[in-house]
Amino acid sequence: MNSFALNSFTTRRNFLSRAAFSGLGLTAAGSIIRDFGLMQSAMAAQGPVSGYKAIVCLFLAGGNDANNWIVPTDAETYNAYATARGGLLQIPQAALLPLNAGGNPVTDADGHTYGLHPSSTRLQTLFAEGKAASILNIGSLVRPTTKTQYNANPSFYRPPQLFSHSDQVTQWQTSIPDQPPTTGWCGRVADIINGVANPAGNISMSISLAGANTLQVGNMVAQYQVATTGAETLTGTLMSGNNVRVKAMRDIMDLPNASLQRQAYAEVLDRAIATGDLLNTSISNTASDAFWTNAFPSTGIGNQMKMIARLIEARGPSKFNMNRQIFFCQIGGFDTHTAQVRTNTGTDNVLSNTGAHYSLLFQVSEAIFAFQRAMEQLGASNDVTTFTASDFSRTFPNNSQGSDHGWGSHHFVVGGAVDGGKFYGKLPTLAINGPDDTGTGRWIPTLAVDQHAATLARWFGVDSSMMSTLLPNLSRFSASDLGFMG
Amino acid sequence: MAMKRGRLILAGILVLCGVIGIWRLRQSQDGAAVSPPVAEDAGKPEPVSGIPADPANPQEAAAATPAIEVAPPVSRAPAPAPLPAPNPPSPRRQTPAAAPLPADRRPAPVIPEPAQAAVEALALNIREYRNRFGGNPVGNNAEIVREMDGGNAKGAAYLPSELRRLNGRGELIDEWGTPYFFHQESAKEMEVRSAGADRVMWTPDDFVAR
Repeated sequence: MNSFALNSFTTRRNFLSRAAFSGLGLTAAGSIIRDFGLMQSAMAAQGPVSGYKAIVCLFLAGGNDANNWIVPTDAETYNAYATARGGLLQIPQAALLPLNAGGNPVTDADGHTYGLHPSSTRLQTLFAEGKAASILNIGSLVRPTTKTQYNANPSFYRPPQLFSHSDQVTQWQTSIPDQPPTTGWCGRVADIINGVANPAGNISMSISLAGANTLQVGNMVAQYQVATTGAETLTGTLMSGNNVRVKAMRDIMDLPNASLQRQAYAEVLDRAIATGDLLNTSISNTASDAFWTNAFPSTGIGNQMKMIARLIEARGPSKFNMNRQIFFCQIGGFDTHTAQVRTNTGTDNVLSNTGAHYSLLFQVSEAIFAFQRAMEQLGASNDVTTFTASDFSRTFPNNSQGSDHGWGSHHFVVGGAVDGGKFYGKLPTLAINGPDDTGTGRWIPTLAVDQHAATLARWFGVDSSMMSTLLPNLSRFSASDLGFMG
Repeated sequence: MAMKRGRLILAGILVLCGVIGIWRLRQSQDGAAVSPPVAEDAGKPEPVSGIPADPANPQEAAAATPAIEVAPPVSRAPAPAPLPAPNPPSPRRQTPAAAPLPADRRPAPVIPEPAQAAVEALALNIREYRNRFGGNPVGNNAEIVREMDGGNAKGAAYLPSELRRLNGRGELIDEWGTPYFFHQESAKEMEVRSAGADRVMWTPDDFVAR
């Protein structure tokens, strides 16, 4: 065979090599699906899942500056905070909202007391009521990591592309930072539990109010995307509001088709129309603000959380017939390199509501509060747990206008089942180039997303024996239950 | 089978060579038709545009005419009408340069081009790094610069020497002395930003490249 032919055609060796790799890939994919299938069988053997539970992820996209969300208030630590944050980002101690429970300041395991950002009065209320807990210095970790290890062996200890937005978002949502992303941890939870929990469910277990996301990507359960106005339906002058035409179209799609691809497409489209109709019909009674005893804020995140509340209201057997659900919503704008507390030319200060961060945290606080009150109204407070997540926190010193990308962050978990009014985890030493700092105040997390996810998954009904498949890196960390779910 | 294919390819190449040869031959003939008579005119001064040639002197007239017109072989076109004399300089052009504006009325100086070129060069070099290592360098300014400046696993340097201006913290600074900002958007995307002359990030005079 001449060289022309050699360059143009696949050799036998090349073909066999490629076939082997393809086979390995297929085997791996098949193995994963088989694992989840086996887990579903194991779940089924434990008996049917009863009662209702839902997990709600509120993602703060861009990297929330949690250093100003939850601020230590004991004198020594506050001084360290004030020294490092500088005049621009430092919140005056008197302006912080004390985090108390039963009228008394709550301390963490190290004796620190805390205050909330001045924008978050509603979250302060929920904390005081014992319905919100704070998780300190959590982030994506490959394995427990000290500063010495971080510096000595970067490729072994550091999550890939640390400090980059999209990679840290993905790693928070997959909870497997050292592997290429394939599924999100909530997607894997749904894969395990959906068949047992929702055998006759009328809607997907995973619903997103903020478009496609990694968190809910599973091998078997597909995420269903809903707008703040409800399910998207057929629109346009031909179809909108014309039930006769829609029925005619669905009748056509129901006709048998010799082409398997066309047949499958018709089935998917028909099912999507049916699901959209069911959803919009089922939630029609909760559209009015008058339905809710505590009004939802008219903000993007407020509208998303209102829709989640409306979907939860329709969870019962006569409508969606769901026992387990996972929701995703998101608010963006947290990448506050600039205008974090003031405009470039303005003179407003950290307490002003013109700063981007104040506005964002205010929206989050108001939306979470309205949602929690809605759950109480529906009698689902103990069944629904909301958690916040974000790309990362931000650098501790200011960059003259805001802050840059950090790592370990503080977050909230909210709900009636939360062992609230407490702090979980450990505050890092607030010193630049201190023992917890990778440089410029980017804290090395002391809690991993894996531990956080395992705690929620266990409450949700995932058996402990399945945690290693759900969260392959979990065994690297000392505790698999952080205790915030009681 | 292989032999037959080889002969076919050879025949094709020969035909192609023939076609190219004929085409080149015709090209050279056409070129000769439009070329000026180099040997005759090589030492003569070029005609000055706008100065009419003397029609009584055929050689001068021929020299003043475009070359294509004097080329052989057969009919010679009549010489074109002489061009008019150039206009005298306008009074405006004769006016001496205006006095410089007072400092407070001077327009803003033109933003130096090198600043944009610098961020683009940095972005290009980060792309080179990415191609080599499969992802962007990670960290703050000083860490990224260290990585780009040979502090990587392969000891490869990606920092252009002409841009290697570092402050006391090891940060790469722009020509106004402000550290560049490296915005890590993903493993494959990095925005390089110079704060510009006002030294304030995210203002209209920033220089940005990806």
